[in-house]
Amino acid sequence: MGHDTAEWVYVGVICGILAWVGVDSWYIEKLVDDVPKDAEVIKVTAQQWFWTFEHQDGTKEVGQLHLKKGQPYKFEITSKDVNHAFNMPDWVIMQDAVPGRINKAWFVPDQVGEFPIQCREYCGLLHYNMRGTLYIEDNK
Amino acid sequence: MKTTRKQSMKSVMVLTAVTLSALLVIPLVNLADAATGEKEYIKVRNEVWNLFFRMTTAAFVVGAVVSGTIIWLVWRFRESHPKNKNPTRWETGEEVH
Amino acid sequence: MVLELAKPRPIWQIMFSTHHTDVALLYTISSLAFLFMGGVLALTIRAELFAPGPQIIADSITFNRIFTVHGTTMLFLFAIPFASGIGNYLVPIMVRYKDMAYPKLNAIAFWMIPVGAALVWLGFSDVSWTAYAPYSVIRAPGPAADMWIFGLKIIGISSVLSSINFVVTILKCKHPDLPLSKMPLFAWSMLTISLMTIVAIPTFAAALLMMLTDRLGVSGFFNPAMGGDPIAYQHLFWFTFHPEVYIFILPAIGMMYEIIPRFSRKPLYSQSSGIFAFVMLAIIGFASWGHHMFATGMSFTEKTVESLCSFLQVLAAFLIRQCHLTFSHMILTG
Repeated sequence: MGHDTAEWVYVGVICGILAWVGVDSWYIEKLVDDVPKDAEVIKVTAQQWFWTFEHQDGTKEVGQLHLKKGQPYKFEITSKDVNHAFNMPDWVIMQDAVPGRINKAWFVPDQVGEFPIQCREYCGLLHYNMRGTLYIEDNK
Repeated sequence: MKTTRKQSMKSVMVLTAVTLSALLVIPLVNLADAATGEKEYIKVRNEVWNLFFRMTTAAFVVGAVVSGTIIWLVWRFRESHPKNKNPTRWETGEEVH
Repeated sequence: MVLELAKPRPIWQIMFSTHHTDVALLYTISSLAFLFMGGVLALTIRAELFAPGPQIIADSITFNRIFTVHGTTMLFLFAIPFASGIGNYLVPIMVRYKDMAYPKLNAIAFWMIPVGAALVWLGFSDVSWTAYAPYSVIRAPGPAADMWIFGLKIIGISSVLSSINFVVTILKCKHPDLPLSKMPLFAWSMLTISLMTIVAIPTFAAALLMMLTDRLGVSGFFNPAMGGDPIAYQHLFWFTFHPEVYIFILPAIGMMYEIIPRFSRKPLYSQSSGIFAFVMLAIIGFASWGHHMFATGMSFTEKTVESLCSFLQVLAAFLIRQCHLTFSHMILTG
């Protein structure tokens, strides 16, 4: 095996691994990017240093969010002052809240319980305490 | 000793290939399973965590091969290794360029 | 440096010198001092986070200030000056010239760093090292954030000046008998990062100016209340600081290229593919800044394009690993 062969095998193996990693992640990202049509819209507004949630029927909640199990939800996330990030670690949802922009995220809760909501972009004095609680209740 | 080195190289390569191809096959099998079930929403967190663990496995396999090579190399070509008693032809002061 | 220990000189002779080894010594000593200062802040952060709830730091604003100054110190006052220090010492020797091309400019570039460092440390700002707008524009308190902006401005100018110096030293003062293709790879890494710095830093310098005028209220580039776009700041910032990651790492790779062949007693597998990898990394490094911004609400197309660029980047980074081919070369030839 000559030197050139070694180099080309090396480059080939790396291109192969990278192509597989790229295609796999691209495919999952495409799946996750696709919001179901029947999703209920929740407007999420971040400001220093609390969260406001507005349901589709107009009811508002501050610092807590009550959702139903099995129902798809789409979050429309924005901010009133500085950058924040809407994060629910148990549901792998993280999306920046940027003033002047509406970002989206979605999920279908499949488990009943209480889950933390937190801010994941540094936003000043009480950033560390900018939390909320997600309550998922049975649909029956 | 030449054969043992070749054999160990071979086993490293085989192990790497098996792990990486398993990573390729597992999602395909999952996909086939998903196709037989009734129409449902995807579970975002499952998809993302599965992807995460596949990528992490790939990264750790590549990392193990790379750092294993370096460690073996440092051990094998250290000056005090018995096989390195004689200076290499690059160290004898002859013109090598 | 061994000479220094054998025959010590008074410190002012080193401080007022413009010789490249003396400036290199100053760079190295001060960057190591900043490494320890930043390290103290890091230990403070870890001690505070040892258990939940407040431990040793009085309030959250102090904590925010500490992690900001820690990040700024490690990146701008340790990583960049350290590379400059080693480069100052070795590059003129590697290209066989008596000194850097502009010795006085070299000393000026160094002495701007303590000024910038003083502004950053005395201000003790809380904007975090990324200083994302609009927090840094509309909410960050007092003169601290402005001092941070001016400090970084000065450090940025300093690194552009020393980069110009490196480029001229390597391209114009190199010994005529030494072709670029035979130049040691550490000198190549310094040439690459110097060119990258000259291209990358002005974007951030512009962003800093815009941020300053925004803070003064005369413009609204990043202030949504005045029609600005906070995401624009992130694009400008990462267009500088994604390449900056390679500016940090390439000198270390260059050192590996010099050290590993010497200590493994084998020549480098291929000088030209090392040069190729540096240049590819430098070029593609400017295309993949967007992967720092995936959570800011990018569209799927933007994400796809940025992922592709990042994969190219990883490929180029693996080409760097061709020093592994030096290793496989050893394996194959015994």
